[in-house]
Amino acid sequence: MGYTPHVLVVGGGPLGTGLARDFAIRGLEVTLVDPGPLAAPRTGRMGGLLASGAQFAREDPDYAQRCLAENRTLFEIAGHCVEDTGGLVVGDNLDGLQTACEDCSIAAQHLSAEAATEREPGLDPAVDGALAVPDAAIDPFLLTVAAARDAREYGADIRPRTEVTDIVVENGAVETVVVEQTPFPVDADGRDATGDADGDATDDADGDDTGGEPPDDGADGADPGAGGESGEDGDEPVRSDGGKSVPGTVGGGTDPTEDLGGSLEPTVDRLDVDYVVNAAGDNAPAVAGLADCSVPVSQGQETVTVAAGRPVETAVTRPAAPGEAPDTAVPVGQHTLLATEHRSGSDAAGVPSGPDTGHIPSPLAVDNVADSLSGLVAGTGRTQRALRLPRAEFDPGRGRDFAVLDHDRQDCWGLLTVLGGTVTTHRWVAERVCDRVCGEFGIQRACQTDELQLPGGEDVPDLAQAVGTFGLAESVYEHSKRRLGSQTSAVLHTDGENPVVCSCQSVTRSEVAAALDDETNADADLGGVRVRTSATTGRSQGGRCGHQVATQLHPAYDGEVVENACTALLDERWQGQRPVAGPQQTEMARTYRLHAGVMNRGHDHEMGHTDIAGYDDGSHDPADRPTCCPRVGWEP
Amino acid sequence: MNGRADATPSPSGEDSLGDPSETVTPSDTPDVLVVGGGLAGCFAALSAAREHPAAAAVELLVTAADRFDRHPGTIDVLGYPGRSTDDDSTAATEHRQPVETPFDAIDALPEDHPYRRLGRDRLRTALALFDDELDYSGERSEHNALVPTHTGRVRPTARYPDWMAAGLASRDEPMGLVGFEQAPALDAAFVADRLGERLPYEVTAVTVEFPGRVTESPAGPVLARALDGDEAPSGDVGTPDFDVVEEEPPSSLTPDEEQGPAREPLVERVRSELALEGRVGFPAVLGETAYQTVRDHIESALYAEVFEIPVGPPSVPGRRLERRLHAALADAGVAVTSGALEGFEADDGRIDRVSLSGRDRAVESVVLATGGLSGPGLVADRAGVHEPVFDCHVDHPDDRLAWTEPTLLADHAFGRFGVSVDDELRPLDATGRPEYENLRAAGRIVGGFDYDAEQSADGVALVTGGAAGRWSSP
Repeated sequence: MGYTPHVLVVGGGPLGTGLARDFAIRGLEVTLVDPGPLAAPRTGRMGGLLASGAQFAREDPDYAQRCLAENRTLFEIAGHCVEDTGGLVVGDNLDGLQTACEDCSIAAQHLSAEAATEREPGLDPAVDGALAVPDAAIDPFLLTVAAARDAREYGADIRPRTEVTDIVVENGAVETVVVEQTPFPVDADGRDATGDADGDATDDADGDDTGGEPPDDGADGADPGAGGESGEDGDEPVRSDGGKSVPGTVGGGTDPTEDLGGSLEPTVDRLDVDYVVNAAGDNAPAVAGLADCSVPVSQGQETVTVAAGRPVETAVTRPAAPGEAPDTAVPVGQHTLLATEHRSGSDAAGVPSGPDTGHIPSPLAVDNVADSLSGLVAGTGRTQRALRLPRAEFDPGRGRDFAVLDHDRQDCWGLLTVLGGTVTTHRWVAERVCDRVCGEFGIQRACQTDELQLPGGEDVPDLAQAVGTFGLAESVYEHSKRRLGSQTSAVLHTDGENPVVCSCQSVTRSEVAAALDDETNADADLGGVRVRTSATTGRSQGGRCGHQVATQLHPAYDGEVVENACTALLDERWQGQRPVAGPQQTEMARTYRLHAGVMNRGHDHEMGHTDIAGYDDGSHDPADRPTCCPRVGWEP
Repeated sequence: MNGRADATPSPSGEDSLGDPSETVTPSDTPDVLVVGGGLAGCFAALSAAREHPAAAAVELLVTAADRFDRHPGTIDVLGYPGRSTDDDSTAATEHRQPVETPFDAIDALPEDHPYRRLGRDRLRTALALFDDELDYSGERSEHNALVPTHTGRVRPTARYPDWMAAGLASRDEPMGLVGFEQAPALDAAFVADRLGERLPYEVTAVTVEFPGRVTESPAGPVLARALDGDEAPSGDVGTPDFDVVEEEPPSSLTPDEEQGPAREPLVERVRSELALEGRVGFPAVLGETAYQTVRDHIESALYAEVFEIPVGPPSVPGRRLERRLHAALADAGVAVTSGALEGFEADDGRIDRVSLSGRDRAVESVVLATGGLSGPGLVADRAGVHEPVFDCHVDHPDDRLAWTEPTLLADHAFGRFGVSVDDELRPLDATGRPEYENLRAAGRIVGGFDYDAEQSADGVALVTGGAAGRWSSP
């Protein structure tokens, strides 16, 4: 056996998991770490747009064509994450854009205002025509999880809730990486700590002495370094036996870890890795900083609001100024994602994140989304939550294109930072980076991520006709099927009852169980359940269903773990609602009333005999005691 | 006065309420208009009508149909007076024992709290009227009772309905819990674990399948209706076509046998699973109207006292409470209507006329009892927090992020949002003067205090509703 390099991927977004998948399929040893559950909203553009490239055809034809190619690839390999909504581009000079699209082989049809409104009644009446293009919607959460699961099936070690705490560099090369895994969601503070790490990260980005160095985007010219020889030389990817092909059907329940509720200290691990790919998004400068390296970045700021339901059925976009992301309104599943971008310094709405805000935008920025998108869509629906997506890009900016920085130039061989790219092009970016890293080790293996389907994306016959709806209401089945793709039958087929635990999103108990069983999820991480199932993302944002989702951890986990997991889940949901005006504030008040009032979750009483003796036990009302209990002589 | 005639379940066990023929036709000139159909509104209307039964025409305008869907059916008077102001307030608050006797704890509240402002005598009067009109328990004890919650905590309450009486956590006796597979709102094993760890007696649990097929979610109202009518639910699923597949259809997918009864199969399933217990708790879905009959049936079949633990929303116990209140309102001659208050005319600081869903009429006095931010009494939009009916002044910070704290179970500013009132419960404008001379506020719309943190919302609803109603009655 030859030497197999061990690559550490830092970051569990679409790009990080895409990298891990690519490396694993090429046969490298891969570990992926992310401080949160996978697909935490810090990596990549989460606006849900699977771009056709039309928006960029005029100013960046190369990028536009790449988008189109990747758009088609993702339809092929990740069908269950993609919805063919079609797209409408609105804005000025649509004729010019149409010509540019034709030059890029992007099908674009110019619709009159009437025809556009007929196609998409949710368009703002003021819209003066639109370009119909093959845009689509993509569920970035499902995509990320599918990539992680596939990577694991090819042997990658996926470690959510794991943070890089040190990168030891010796003799100008990465020697060891220290990672810490938090075993359980301990409490709200533990969750906050994760968020703070990002806030701090941006501060570390400046004040370096190599800031002027242009980032290296090429795959050539790097030192071959301590490359090993290629390992197995077969090109056939090998799926390891360790992975579960279908969650929920193999392996039974969650590991009943023995020291449940006992050891809540982080587990520290020292990884002897050969190469580190830093795809941590806006956290990338902090990760590089652990190796005393710097990443010159400029911070973009994108605000995404999540509206209930589908005020539009089509992905509606409006190209923005060069280098900026377009304004978008994209229906993804049972929500519509509305996004605008704000460059740093360009708008007061991009307030700096304080300790309390973390990844939530200011109320002003949230209101600004609605203002920016008026004129694009008639109504933005009922806003449920808002996300602030800090978007780190190399400085000087390279637009939406990706860029890599090889820290070998900073006397640290074996560390590469990747920034930029979009969810549409993430697979292609991963391919380029993997090519380059493999090149460092003299490995030449073709990328196959554009051919191999992701778990859930395989073509399977529609089982609805064959087996009905698995005893579920039709709408519950339909929503489940959309998320589960080819695994619908395996997950929904249960022996006993399979009740809905999240009513708004139609998530059943077996789907939650499958998410908990997923080996790419951290133990007892309900955030991971959320990104896999969409549970707790509906109207009440977990207020009504969070405890029902949490008790699915019981009895594998003890009550304390369940309570803490529930609190962490609901606090995460709570944060995203805070800057939103309108009916969501009423929902928040109802959630508070239910949990603080009716459930009394704000108080925890342990009471002995004497403690409860001071309270009414009903015995003042002897008449109220039924007389129907002649227990003597009763036999069960 | 006889307020019990219709409030008490009839001998058949059916709550004979909600019968349209019993509703009272609204008078053309209601002397008292109560806006808002929650506990405070119902009680304000009841108090106004009982104050001068002959003289006053009272109308209750229900502006939101689902107010009681979030109500657990108990009457909480005071569980935790005030928050501790220590730096370490979270830990201190979390483990503070609930007050044993609410009346003894009132003095610990700030002077402008509704209890202090209106005084304990008015609170006693309000509770006495409630006890007289509604068939609840707990009135013979000055002490709070502790009731179990569906997430395994205990909650202090002053009045509880008969179907919760056997389930008091403060009764030092083991209990068994029954959960339904189809109703994940109450995970019996989890709740039993949590209660068992915190209470000095054993709590056991079984989970059974509710008879029939349940596909609705939340399942509570469906199960309740099934027990009311003693008919197993049939669910709502597409019909499988088994010819398409070669394999045997899974057992869970075989077509239903005849839709049978619900009650007896249920008790049989419970009896075969449950160890001998003196008292047995169920999720509170044991009937929405015939709950008395259902509980009697289960009690005699299990040879145990049966109680229910509220779940929801939608809360079946809340709907039961609403039915009892509406029966009392009908008995008192209050006209109950649904709709919105679309406009009003005011002159010289008094509200003279109101427009109600197309009807335009004169009023002598108005009680505003539309609830707080949890709906629909306050509205939060980009401009701020508003009281949408009479546009009463609502004090609140401009910064939206100051309305809430970063975590759910915290001391949120929005918990205290509402109108400021004078000693006669009249909402005050920004300068501290009454908005209208004949407008009074009751319930959660009265701001300044977090009634959820205090576990005092129902007592406040009763004392403010009672006072506002009586003062409004000519």
